[in-house]
Amino acid sequence: MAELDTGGGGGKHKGGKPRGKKASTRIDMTAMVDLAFLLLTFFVLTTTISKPNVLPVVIPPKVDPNEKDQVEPPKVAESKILTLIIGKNDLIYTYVGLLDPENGKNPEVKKMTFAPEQLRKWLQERKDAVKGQFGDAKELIVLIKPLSTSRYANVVDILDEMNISEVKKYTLAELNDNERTFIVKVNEPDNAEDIKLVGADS
Amino acid sequence: MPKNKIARKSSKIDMTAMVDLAFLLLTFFMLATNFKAEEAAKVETPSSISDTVIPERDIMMITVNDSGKVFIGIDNKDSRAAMLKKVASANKITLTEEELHAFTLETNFGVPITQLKAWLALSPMERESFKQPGIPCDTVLNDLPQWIVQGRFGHKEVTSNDIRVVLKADKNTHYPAISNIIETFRELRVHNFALITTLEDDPRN
Repeated sequence: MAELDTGGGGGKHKGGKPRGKKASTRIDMTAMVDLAFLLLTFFVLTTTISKPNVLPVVIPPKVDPNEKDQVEPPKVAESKILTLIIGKNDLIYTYVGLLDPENGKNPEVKKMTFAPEQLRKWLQERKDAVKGQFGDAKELIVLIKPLSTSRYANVVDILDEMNISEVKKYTLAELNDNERTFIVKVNEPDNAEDIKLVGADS
Repeated sequence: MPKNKIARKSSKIDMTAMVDLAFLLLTFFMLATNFKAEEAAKVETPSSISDTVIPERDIMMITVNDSGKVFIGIDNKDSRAAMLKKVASANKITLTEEELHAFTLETNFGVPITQLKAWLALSPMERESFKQPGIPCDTVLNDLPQWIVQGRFGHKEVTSNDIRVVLKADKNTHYPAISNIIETFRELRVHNFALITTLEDDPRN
């Protein structure tokens, strides 16, 4: 394998004097190619060219329990608030404003999937409504409340959807008691399990 | 009668061009390479439209696998060592030089502090096959805050840069495991972090 190819030079010419052997400039590169490809394969397989992407998240600071009473939460018009409850099996329960049956606040809760024609359309509808009422779609506030049985992918999808739909104000929050009771009452029996789990974390 | 000889073609081919190409590619990959870190957990990240790439350096990565096990790692070897030293001294664990060295070779890990010494005493082969239980992160035993805090301090001392916290979780992880970690971040005043995602097409384009 590792021979030097000397073909082409050094033959005796017809009737002439034997000439000095002309060394060929060709060398057998097989071994070198073998090695080059071996290393190449190694580097191709071990390398990670594409670096992962990141989705930046900012969470609000925790309110000190001692200061809780002193800090007045900002007052917001109910119609600006949109709540998205992420359930299991990629379902979303959503309503506008406050859910407080005792005080006669019973907004219609919609159930939808992550399909763009449902969720994205709904967000657009709310943005338009807020824009109509307050003059700026940026006023819309979305509260994202994942149930314990929801998957992480769903939460990321919703955060992503906020970026796609250009919703400027959104936050991850926990379910309140009214929402928990609602989810138990209204939905399929298997959702009772959701509630049990949610109650357990909080 | 002349013999009908079939001209025998040489089996040698000119490989110059091929070699040129092979070495060109080799050089490219050698320079572009960034060795895949040995990961303690297999994680399939969810996708998002965010095209921000992860910063080159100063990264503390919290990994959560699909069953909710937590792993932590810092990209800088020296910061990792500093983090371990701080955690060890806070928990009154004395570590030998070998154990410290063994730790710097692990890009991320998920072992309770109580088992740390036993885990580091394993040989590299044994450690590779060892099933790491994950960092305890519940109300009974919560190691995660001290790793994060000491990691931040350690990194700041070693490099004088602030560390960026990123969360890499499997898409099938149930949300409570994630919310637990986000709550830990909130407790530690890490209000600004990032989630690792794979890029998907932006439907607006």
